[in-house]
Amino acid sequence: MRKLRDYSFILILFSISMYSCEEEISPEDTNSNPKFVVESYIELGNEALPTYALITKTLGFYSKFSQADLLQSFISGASVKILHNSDTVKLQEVCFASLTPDLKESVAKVLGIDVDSIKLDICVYVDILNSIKPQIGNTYEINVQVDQTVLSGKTSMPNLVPIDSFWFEPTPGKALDSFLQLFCTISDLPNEKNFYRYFVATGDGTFKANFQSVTDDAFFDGKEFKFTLQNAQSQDDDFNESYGYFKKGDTITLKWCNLDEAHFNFWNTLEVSRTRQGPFANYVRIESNIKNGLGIFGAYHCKNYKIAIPK
Amino acid sequence: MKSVKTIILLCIHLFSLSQLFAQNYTVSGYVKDKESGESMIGVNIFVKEQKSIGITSNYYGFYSLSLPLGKHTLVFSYIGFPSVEKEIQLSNNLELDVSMSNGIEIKEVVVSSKNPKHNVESTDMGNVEVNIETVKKLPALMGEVDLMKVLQLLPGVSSASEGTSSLFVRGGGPDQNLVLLDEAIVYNTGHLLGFFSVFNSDAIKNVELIKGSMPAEYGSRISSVIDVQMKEGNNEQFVAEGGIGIIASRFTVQGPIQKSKSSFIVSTRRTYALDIAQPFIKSTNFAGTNYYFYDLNAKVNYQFSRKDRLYISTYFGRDVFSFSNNDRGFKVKLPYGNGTGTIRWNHLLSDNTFFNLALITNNYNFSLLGGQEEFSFNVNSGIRDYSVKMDLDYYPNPKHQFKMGARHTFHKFTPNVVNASNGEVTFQSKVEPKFGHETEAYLSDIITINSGLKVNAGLRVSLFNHIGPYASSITNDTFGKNELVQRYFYPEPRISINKSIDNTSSVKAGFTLATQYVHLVSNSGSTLPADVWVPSTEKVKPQIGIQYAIGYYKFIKKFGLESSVEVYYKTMYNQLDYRENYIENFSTDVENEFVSGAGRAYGAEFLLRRNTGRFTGWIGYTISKTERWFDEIEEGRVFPTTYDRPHDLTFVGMFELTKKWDVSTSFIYATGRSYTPIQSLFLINNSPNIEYGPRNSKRIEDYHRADISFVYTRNKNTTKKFTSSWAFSIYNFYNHKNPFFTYTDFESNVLKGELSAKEIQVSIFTIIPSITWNFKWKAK
Repeated sequence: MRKLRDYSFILILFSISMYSCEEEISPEDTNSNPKFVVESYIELGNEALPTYALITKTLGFYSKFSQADLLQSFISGASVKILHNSDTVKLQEVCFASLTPDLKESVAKVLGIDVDSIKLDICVYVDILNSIKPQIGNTYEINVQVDQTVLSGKTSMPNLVPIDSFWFEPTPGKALDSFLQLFCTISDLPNEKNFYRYFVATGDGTFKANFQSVTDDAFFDGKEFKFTLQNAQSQDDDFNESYGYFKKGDTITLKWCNLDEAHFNFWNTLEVSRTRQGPFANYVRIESNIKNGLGIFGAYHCKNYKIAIPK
Repeated sequence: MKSVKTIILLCIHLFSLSQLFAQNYTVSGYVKDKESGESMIGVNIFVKEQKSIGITSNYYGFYSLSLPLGKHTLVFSYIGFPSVEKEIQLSNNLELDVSMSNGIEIKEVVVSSKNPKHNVESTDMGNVEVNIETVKKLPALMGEVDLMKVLQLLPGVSSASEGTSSLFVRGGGPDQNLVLLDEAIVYNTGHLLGFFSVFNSDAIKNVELIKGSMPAEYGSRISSVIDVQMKEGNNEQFVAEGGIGIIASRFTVQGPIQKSKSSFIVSTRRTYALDIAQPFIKSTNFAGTNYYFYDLNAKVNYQFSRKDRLYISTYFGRDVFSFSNNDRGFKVKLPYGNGTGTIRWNHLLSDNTFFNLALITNNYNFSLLGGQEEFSFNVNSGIRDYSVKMDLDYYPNPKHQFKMGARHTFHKFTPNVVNASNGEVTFQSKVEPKFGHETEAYLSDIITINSGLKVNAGLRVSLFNHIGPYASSITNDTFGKNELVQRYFYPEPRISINKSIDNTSSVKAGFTLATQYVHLVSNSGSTLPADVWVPSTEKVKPQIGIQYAIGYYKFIKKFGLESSVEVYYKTMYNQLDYRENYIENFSTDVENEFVSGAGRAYGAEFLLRRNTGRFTGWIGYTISKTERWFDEIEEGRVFPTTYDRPHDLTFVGMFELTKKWDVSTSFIYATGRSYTPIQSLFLINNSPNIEYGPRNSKRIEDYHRADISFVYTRNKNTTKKFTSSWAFSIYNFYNHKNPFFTYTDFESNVLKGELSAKEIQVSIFTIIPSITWNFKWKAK
């Protein structure tokens, strides 16, 4: 539904395209007091990743960033702790440059990134020993100390609403020979708010989230719900005729997750913020659950499904 | 009906002060345009021997003056028409209808239809009347004549962004303007996302903008009144007229049904820019994609007797956008628009008492329908009103002019209701329509205390009942159908005073308190078709606006110049906005997403205007500030609105070059609008995201633009049956690239150490030439 604004945009684009012109401008730098940003997840599931955190700081709006600019934005030397009741687990800092190739590959997988793509010596805070054993209904806190700044946040582990069934159908409209559309059904839990996010990995690739990857159950609360799942595509990827479809013969891993409301709000506002461009669009502030900073500390309850796309 | 008349007359006599004066007789009648038979609004009628005694004709051309026994000379004056003098000998009440003629078919260009000194002499403050002939002469975007955009050229009025026809008056929001078309409220005044207004200039007779002291007969909005009257239809002869432009065409036909007694007018307009492109679109994957809008205005009137006249008028307009992606089997259709209908009965209760009864309905509907294979959805929203209204003008003697009346409106508010189905599973949003009864009554008196002092004092009272069905989210109570949920009642005092300094200058002061029970909150820089109107409820309090204004008015006779300076200060309470982080969500009641705050606006407006002669036009300058604050937005920080324009300069000039050529030009210079800047970027999932800074804390560069138009009329001052003209218009003729919006473009692969961020500024309306052919045929 929120695409309404985009359709309007197409309409006026058509009308005015012959008159409009574009010019790059340089906004002034307003990042004189950078803020710290937390990105940390705690996960429960059949192939759950260990709890980890990335601590960065905000960047000014420059036209081009050097490797040094980007490297400086990753914070090393922070103290990152995960708390649950009286239990406290301190995450260990792991910097890429100090890792063996095997370890590097393992950490890259944790972060969902291709090891060959890493050129920066970034540092990640990881629960290497898997000391944190997440459980449904538990609330977890993160405590981050960087220099004199203390950042904190809370998240809770939701119930999992698994996928009941999958099937493939020919692509709609003019059917494409090499692609299929993926359908599934879920049975949403009645009388509670459920929030969903999913990721797709093709072959041995890393997990990608679609540019609109979250939903709540406002329209199907407590119902058995049939819907299509799109192959993940980032906002930067080109839209072509096979957008969202799955290639025949591929094998994919679908990571299907539930999350709590604050975690959903973060991704929902972030994804809308990224698409909110155009003459009638208003800015959207990304809703954070981090006190004294930006970012997210979020719990995921996930299930991974390996699916072979029929030939 | 007789009992109604008795009650009304009884009311009048309760207020009547006529007994206090010596024996007077009444001269009354209607003022009409001789060529078309149309009632003439705002004709100045005064006694030649005693110029302080005067009145203006009302919206139906009626006037009434009570004068002592004896001989008098009445002067009827209207800009662009030679004055008419009538000598009368009063020994009894006298009925005197007057027809005024300018002697030529194409009227002289006028920017104000009233007496040149009207602004100096009346108690009106911040009122501007715009003649539709002026609107038609000015340069127009893509050749589409648009009265709302002409109103934007007046001091104190600004637009949301370039090219849009939305109005922001003296710091008020877009929902705070009472836009009336033949007394019916028009809830959405824009076509094509607001780039064109719904008013077809061929069907419009007159427009009045009230931005200052709102008289007591107007209410329901706290900022301004835009009162648009449709033509009645020529009751003397058949006339057909129209125009063909680059994006739309118009056609109007009008004529007598029974000569001098009844007439009709039907006027229509439709765009065709994408219709022309259909042959190309049909061969693509997007076959079935189209966009157009149309308007239909129709009106009939019948004069049963000198005392009774009936008017029936209607408007219907729609925007229709369809989009198809055939490869993906996806279709969406988006129709939306307004409809209004008004039935009015004018009745003369006596020679000095004019009564009008109106039954009014109006609605605005928005729909979005779409689907792909088994999946289909539709979204519907809108507002519908049914109103009954009566007004009474009572002229007991030259020192008093009473107006009184009442209006009752039943509102139905339909939020964005979503229905969707996916195979056998159906979904419906849980948001229910809301209902309300709005009742208003008013009484005002324009009192001439002496030749140098006039007061317009009025009181309006308003009552709003929000009724069920409704489920309270505060008390968890549920209310059944028609059960009272919440009641609001407010008295709304209005006063304006005119103190003459001399024959050509005066000082005025005014105070207005107004309340508003229906609200539109937009989450964009402008209003959009999907934005919904909501009523006052237990959560949403009525908006209250209080305005103080003072002004100096001078008529410089030597140059025919009308000049004025008005200073105003306005406070607005219970202002609404969306909470921070709000994202459209059709599954919840939108009133739960609002935050409430306050606002203020203040400024000074300067206007210098020439209404007659070969060269006419105006220069306006406004210095102003408009601010809002909300406890729940940035902890109550005071921020400027996006339409805050500290400096706003406009120039409009119209010149008759030759008997065949007219040239018009307009120039605007305004402070750039405020926007919320990017404060910093931050990385999530190795991709850049934007952290925004304080709301509206930066401004885009100042805005300026000049337009010009040339109109060639072949047979201008002629009695020929067929005349035509060509209008050549150039919008933004010096091609200044005014920024319309900005967007950010990222290219990133952070882990490889690559990130570039660009902010791109887009200018939409660069130089745009257009051409329109207009024609007019008349039967004789």
